Amino acid sequence: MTTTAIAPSLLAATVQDLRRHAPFSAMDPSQVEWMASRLQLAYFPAGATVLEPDAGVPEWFYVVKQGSVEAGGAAEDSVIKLLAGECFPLGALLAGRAVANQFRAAGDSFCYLLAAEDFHALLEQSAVFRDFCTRRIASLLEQSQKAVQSEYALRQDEDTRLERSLASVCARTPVSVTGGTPLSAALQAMHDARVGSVAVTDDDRRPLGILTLKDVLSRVTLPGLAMDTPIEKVMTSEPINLPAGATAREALLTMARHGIHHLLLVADGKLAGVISEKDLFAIKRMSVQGITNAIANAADIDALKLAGRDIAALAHSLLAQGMEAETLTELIATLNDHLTRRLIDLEAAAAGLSDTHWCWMALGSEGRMEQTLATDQDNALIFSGPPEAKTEAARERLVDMARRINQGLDACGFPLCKGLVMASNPKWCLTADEWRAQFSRWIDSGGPDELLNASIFFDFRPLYGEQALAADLRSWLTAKVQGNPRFLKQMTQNALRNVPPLGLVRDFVLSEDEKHPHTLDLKLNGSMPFVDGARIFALASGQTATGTAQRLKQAGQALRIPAEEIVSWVQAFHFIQLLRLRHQHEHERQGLAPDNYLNPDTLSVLDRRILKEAFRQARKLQARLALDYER
Amino acid sequence: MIWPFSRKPRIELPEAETRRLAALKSAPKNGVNAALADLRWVVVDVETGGLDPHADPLLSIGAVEIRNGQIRLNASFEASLQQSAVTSHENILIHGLTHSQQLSGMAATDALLDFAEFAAGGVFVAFHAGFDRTALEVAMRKELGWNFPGRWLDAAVIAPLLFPRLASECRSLDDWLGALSIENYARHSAVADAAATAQLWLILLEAAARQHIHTLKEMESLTHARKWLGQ
Repeated sequence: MTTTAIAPSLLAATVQDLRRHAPFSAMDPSQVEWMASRLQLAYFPAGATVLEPDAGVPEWFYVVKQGSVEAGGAAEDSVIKLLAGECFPLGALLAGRAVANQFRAAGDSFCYLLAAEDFHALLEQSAVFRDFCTRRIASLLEQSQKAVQSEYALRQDEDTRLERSLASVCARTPVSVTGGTPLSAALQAMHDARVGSVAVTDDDRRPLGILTLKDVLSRVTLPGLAMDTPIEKVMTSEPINLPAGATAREALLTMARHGIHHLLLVADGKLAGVISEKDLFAIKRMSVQGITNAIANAADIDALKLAGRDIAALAHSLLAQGMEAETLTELIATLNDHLTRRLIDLEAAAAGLSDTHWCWMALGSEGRMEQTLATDQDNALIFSGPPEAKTEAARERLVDMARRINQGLDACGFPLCKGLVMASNPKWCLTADEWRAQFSRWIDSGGPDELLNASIFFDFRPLYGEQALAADLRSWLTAKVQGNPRFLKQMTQNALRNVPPLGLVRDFVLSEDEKHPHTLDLKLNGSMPFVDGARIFALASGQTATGTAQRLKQAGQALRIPAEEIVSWVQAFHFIQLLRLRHQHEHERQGLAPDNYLNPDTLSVLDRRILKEAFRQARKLQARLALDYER
Repeated sequence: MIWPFSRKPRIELPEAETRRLAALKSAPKNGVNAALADLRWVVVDVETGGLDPHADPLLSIGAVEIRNGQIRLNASFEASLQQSAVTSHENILIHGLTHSQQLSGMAATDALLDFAEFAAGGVFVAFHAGFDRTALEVAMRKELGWNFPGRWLDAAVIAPLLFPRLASECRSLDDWLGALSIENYARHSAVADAAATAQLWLILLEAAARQHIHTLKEMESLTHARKWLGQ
């Protein structure tokens, strides 16, 4: 017998103990034995910290043997209670990061400990164990997302909207009951008022406690409590409260600090209101309207500069709140559109171009409404109207106006285009006939420069002025391309040259570029295969949409690509866009210029896996392209 | 002539066992100033053929290690010793060691050397440690001719000192496990009892730290103090 073995009867007893609980009950007995023979047993007196965020990546996988361990903030509102047989911290171990929450022993507890490396070995060995752990990923992801949200909420220090007093935010009279009220009546009151919590007060309306819908599950439903139980038996007593005059920011901070979603407001010691996290987020949603109004009322470039800054701040804040990429980019694009239109409004009025019909067009990512936080301007002008003799004079005046608009946009936070793809470049300020001639040349020649231009310009979208000019050009282009299989083939070949960076040996093929070593270019290698593919599908099937997701959805129907395949592509595209946004957001927060070069080592194991899958989807999309258009 | 204060009878061991024993004898010992938190604890339980550790045969030894405040289930020890004669019927009912098990165990010298090697460098803990200590010492002397050294702490003595409120109602290990709500496996294998005692010991170590008892010396003087108080 050596010091690294487990005594046989102890092994048998430990296996028996573990097998009373999932997932061990369903696992192969030899695997449970393997695990049991590597366990240690630790004692945590009530209140002792088992794990905390500051301690780094956890060294152990824990199974509660007896007692209970609580995970979550200081307030009971958000606490998850882990009882005998339950495992933690799955998310942190799987993602290889520190725990997001503190884990505390709720009562005197013993836990089995398995070394992290043995935990990973068990994941490899046992499909049942792996399934059990991964099936919980979704809910764990949600939890970590929440932790990130409150962290960002704390950084929202420039957000003046959060200085509003809480009294002005919660207009509703709070739903409250007295301590003796039976649960049935209290829950009915919550249901009727469509709120997520009920305040409990004494007869003088002094707050005694709070019960949230989330508590109901763990404290009422699961223990099978009778509905005539008085609410005071299950409520959270000594609830966290704030004076009614406190600001929305204080409320957000308090919620984040305690990890709760509901707060009581108190005036003169009496219940004055209940505020939920939802109410606070509503203030922020209203701020989109606020920016829109500010832009509409802007009288000069200075006001627009402020609005530009607000758009960026809002984008960061919405990103932090966990808004998904699709909605977020669309929102950014819409606000940017508003701002650009207002700017053109101001400049056009000064330019006095009433005799010319013209339309300002957004190109590239702006044309596709897919701007990230690091987008420079891409735009052009189309015009018609003056007799031929006056064309050059009109172009001169338009270019003149466009220069002021481009500079104005630059001042508002949209940097000038380095490739000079801007309306102020006379090359890109053309009459409708000139545009058709230009597009024809690109389509007929199909050289690399022409294809590059096509990829930028063919995503044009009218933004201001005579929309019909752009719409006519679009229908002409659609018809023209459809009669040119050779051009589609060239575009396809060009797109296929951009191979998704999936490695044979390692997950990813990384850049060896000196400026950005050990990174993935999320724009070039990530979004671009989807954007290019969607453009070809759209042009080939005669669709007029310019957004990548929309193009895929429309063209998918026309080309009879299975719907679930399209959904996977769209999801993959949005995931990559989200990674780009997150990466840029993080860079800006650190005071760096936002870019698209991501070191995949900074991703969690989970995000890495999803990114890998997203690249696989890009490869599938390319395979489909190759099949349809390469020959 | 026969010298009246004769040394213990000499025991002839095979060469390999002699070498193992010599290595054990030269193993370093723990100092009294060692911090409790740093010690390697060897929590022991033995089963004997009766209630007299001096006379009744040693049937089995179970032990688990505590290190860094954790019970290392993966470093536990269990051995039953081969018996020349089968013990009385009642005792089998308590220990669950059947006749064939008693006859099938390891050779006593091997089991004892294995155990001593497992325990080397540790401080012993047992519940009613006097019993386990005596049984082991008697067996070591009889089988190996060795005065088995080692520091021993008795959980049965220390528990009431650290939890005086429970002292009046707790006598047996089961009492203490119940009072401190320690759930345990099926008991009455030596190693399961050792594991139960080890869980109790983790709680006692935690209580000691709270009462500012940090070294082995302080823990030992706690038990001496009790003797002076005549409790």
